[in-house]
Amino acid sequence: MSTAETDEARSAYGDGGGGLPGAPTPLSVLEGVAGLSARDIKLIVDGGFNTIESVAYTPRRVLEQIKGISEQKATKVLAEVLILPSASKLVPMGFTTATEMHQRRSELISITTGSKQLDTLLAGGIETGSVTEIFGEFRTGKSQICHTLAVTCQLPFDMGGGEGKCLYIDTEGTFRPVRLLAVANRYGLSGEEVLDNVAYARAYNSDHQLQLLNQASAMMCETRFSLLIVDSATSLYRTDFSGRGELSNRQIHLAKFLRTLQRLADEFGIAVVITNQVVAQVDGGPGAMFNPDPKKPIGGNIIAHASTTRLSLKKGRGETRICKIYDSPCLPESDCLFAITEAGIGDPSPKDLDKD
Amino acid sequence: MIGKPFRSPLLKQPPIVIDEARSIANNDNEQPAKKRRLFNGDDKTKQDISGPRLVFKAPGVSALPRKPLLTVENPAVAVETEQTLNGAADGYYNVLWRRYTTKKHKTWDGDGILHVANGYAILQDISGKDMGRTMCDSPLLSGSILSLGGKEVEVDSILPKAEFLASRPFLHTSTPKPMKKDEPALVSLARPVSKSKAQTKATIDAKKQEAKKPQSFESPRSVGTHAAWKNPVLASTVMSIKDAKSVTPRHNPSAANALVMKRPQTVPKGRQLVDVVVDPLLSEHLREHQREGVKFMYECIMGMRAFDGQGAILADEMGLGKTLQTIAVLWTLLKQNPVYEDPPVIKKALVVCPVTLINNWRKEFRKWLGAERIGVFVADEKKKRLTDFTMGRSYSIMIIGYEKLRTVQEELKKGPGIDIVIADEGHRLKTAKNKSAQAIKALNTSRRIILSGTPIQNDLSEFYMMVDFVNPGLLNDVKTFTKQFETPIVKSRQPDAKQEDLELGEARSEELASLTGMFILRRTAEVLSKYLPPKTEYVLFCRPTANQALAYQHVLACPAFQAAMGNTEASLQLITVLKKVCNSPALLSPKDPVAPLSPMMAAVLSSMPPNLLRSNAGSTKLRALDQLLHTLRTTTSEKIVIVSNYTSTLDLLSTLLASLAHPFLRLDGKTPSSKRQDLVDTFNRTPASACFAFLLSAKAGGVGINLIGASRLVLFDVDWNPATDMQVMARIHRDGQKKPCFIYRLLMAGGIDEKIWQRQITKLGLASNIIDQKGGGNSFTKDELRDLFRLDEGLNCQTHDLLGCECGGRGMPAAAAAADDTPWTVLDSETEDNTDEEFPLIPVGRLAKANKLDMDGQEEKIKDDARTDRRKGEGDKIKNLMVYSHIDTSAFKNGVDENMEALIRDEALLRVLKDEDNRISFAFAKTLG
Repeated sequence: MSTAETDEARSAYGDGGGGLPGAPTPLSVLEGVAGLSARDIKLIVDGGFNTIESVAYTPRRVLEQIKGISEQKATKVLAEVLILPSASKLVPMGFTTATEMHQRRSELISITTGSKQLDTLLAGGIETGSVTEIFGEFRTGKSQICHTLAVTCQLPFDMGGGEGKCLYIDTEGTFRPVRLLAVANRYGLSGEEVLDNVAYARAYNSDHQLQLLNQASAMMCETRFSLLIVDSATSLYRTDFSGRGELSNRQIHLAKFLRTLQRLADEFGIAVVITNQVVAQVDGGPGAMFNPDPKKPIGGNIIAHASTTRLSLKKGRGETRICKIYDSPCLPESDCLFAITEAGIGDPSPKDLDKD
Repeated sequence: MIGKPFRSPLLKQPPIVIDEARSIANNDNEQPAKKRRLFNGDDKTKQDISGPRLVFKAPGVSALPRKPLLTVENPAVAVETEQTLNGAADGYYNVLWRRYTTKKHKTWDGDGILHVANGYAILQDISGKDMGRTMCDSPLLSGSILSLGGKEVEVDSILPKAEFLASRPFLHTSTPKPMKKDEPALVSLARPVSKSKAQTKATIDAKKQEAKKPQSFESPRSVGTHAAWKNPVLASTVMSIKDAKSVTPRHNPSAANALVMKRPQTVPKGRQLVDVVVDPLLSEHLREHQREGVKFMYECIMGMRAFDGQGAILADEMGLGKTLQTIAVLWTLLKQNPVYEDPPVIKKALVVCPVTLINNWRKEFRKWLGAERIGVFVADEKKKRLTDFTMGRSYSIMIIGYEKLRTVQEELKKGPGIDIVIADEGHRLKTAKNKSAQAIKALNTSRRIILSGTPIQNDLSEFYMMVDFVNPGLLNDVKTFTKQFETPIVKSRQPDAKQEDLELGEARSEELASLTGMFILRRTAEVLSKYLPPKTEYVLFCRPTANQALAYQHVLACPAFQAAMGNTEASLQLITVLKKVCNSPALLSPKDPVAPLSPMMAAVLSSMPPNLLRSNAGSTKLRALDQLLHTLRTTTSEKIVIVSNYTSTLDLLSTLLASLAHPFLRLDGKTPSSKRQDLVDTFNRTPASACFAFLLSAKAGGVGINLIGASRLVLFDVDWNPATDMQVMARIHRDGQKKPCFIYRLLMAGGIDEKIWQRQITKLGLASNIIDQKGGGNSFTKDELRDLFRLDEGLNCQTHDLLGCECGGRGMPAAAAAADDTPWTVLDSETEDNTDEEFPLIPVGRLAKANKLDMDGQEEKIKDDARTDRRKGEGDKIKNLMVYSHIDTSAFKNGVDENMEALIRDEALLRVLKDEDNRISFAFAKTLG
């Protein structure tokens, strides 16, 4: 791709309100409107709200807590955001018909996982604009799915991609660019560009993890992203908060984190994929009678409610893994077989299918 | 925040034009940004104008740690000096205020302006109303908190005096950009309060420039993470052109070699047309005739041709790449639409094919389009959920076998439905009652394509069925078709047709061809000749062994046989029995001694001397094959495919191969469909030493599969249907074949084999007349074909004699015969009736008559009739056979004849023929390409 084209793409993006799906409007359009000074805008941006959408999606109370923003100003900003012509077009805050919603959903982009079977299970792939949670034991392919998605999200729409960059937040230190190169090779992409398109951050504690999302939001204003991956959203919470005493703090923090993720998904129309760890149910639980080794995802109800689609992974024979829809607003509860191949996630070979 | 100490070096000075005066004033100072100096009166003010965001850059930076700075008493010397300019010791601040509250998370109620003058601080709200005042003698810094008038006030930033005086905060105009500071204050005053577009725009532009600066400076990040999105697709990859503004086709129509489809004549209102261009990924592989075929199918499906329907029949001969053409059409329709911005023409496509071909189709899709571009759903395993295809979005193509389709037809109707059906080897749908055809029709798909290498197999009514399948109603109903077309055409083709019948038949035939020519495309393998090595077909007539002849006579003599003559079903059984004898008499003996025999078999066997059944050596065809295999194995490194219609014959052949220690593979109806492609691949890959032969059942593997690893093929028996044999022959002679191909067709001379073969020739004549639109030659007369069951034990070749060819088995230049359409009247004049007395005559009588054993007597009786018959029919002798060279093999045994040897181009066959022992009495040879 020539640089000229890249620039063009960028400028198209920078216009805000352009034709691109999910292109957000920067907050700076509010400057000078109704006495909002550049400084006010700056304060709000520094508070982590980069776009019209993010402000529109935020309760006033949160805006008031931004340093240097008074209640008066917060009210003013919110009022301006909601009457702004471009915003009311882009941020539908009122009611709409189910027909329109249906139409919009049918145009929704899904990012392919690399496995046709898994895509079918997910009705096309990882849905954009929502949070998908993948949980399972170790070696069930969570990180492998993340690695594959980090590449497929860059594919053209035509090939089931999202034509955008990927933001990868890693909490466990399991990110391996080599895997990305292997996947890129499979799809005939230039490895160098693929790696350039992945913004990687290692999160070291739960606060940092949350703070990274603020940066993420700023970066997403600058250029087109299509996917945000948090490989293990919960691992840091497991250790940063311990015991029942801190449980409530932990859950509040986690809820905030997930809410921010959801906000990013809404705001930028990106797909958000988080992985989750599991915990053994020592006391058995209701299914213990039938399942000798029951596992359930951690994070409790907070994460259960926050993620739109929940996928449970299990190890299958050899290279194969089983993916089960654990919770979804529309997908039927069923499962499928996929495989971890040299080049990321793929379909199991017929040989593996035969054996079952 | 632990990160704070690290922040300071990252605080970048905004590249802002700083006031000239100030920069000059500060020139002598070592560092301009030292916090202490902030108190330097006007200097301070100015600095804060230039960089208010410096102080408040990070939200995380709380004011608290800086508080100690406040306590530092700084003699405001500078202030005093500067104050003289303004004449007042005052300062203005932007502040936030709130009433006292005990809330845990306090927020600010409103904004205001704090005016400090003469030791008093006066708070005004942004509308300019006074809200209270208090004593204030200590200097204020942003972040400092003081209380006045029952309110808490926090200083937010310092307000330049000029701005205050211009009462900008009260007018709700934005702070002018520091860059524009040189503008007179009046200008900003003059600015309308209203949100004039121009103004906002200018502000946005300026803001954007600032936004270019990294916003998140909390931690050092590589520049790359902020880089714009780069398309990772390799430059060499064929991608669709994207331009939202103008109407652009998906692929570049002006590229070299681009295959652009015809545009539709009409445009929907308010829409634009766009060129439909076949993906260069595919079009670069298409040969000339394939490009034509893709265009043809596209036009048919889009209804752009002058007929009423959306179906097409692609009747290209085998090996012309029907599969690739279909894939190109499907891929184009799946992604493009001639109306700009309309969804693609089709969303779901169904490919129906024989089970054997399922894997082949899957492989072809993968080969041409790769694994990622297209979702191909293969309905072969039970476990797969069909809803994955019907409801799911990741599959757009489904490949299914004809039999399976019947069971899932109901399920397929669910969901959005199927948009196009491809019926591969569609000649299967030849009867109206065919369940698969009904299943496809039930899908309510108007777009249907039939792919068939051999569209007319037996008669015109089958042809009608196919046409009616793709374009229902185009040829009216069956009755009308029979009356209008079939009867006249068939009638005109009888040797005793009257002149008016001939005329009518001719006209109807032409009419039919022109009607159907709109949506039938037929190309023969000749177009491939420039890509393919030559193919030579030898029809080898093997004299029956004594045992075989005896067994044959025994069967004929058997009373059960005589009894069965009148009964159609029984006579079909008899044909099978006779065909077995032709292959090998040993096939007659029951495989399983315990299993009960059919009454007829029992009767036949009981009359048969048991020694006849014992040995395979009794079969002349096996002997010939044995010799051929031996020669091939010893003199060449080529591989061979041996085809038979019967598994029992294949058993026999495998025994033979095993006893000769030739390694082989076998594919028949019992081979599971999942293993079939593996077998084929293995055979094509391995060298002749590891896998010499491939035993193929014509029924199971006759169509679609690709055995280009072999360059020789033996048709061990003949089928009634010439198409089956043609299909089988095309297994080795197809795209990808590198070596010259040789096909050997083994017939038992004088036996039922030969008679069936003669029938085939008749059928082929019919097919080429309709489809190829050539004036084909005529056929054997009905009467001649009636004597199917006779065994002619003459020394010469009956077919050749029947043909009335005068070449005398010295071979005739095939090319010459094929090239000119000279009527055979020339030959007619030189009848060769006198050549042999024991010429096997064709009885005029009915079937029953022919089977009387009194052959000699019968021959005598009908001899004269027959001769007159033959003379009459002479002019109509099958032209098809004249393209063969006729070779009497006795010539080879007698000695070396250069001319004759030149006719047999195949070294291996020549060796066999020169062998003293060989039983091949006559051969027909034809070379293509």
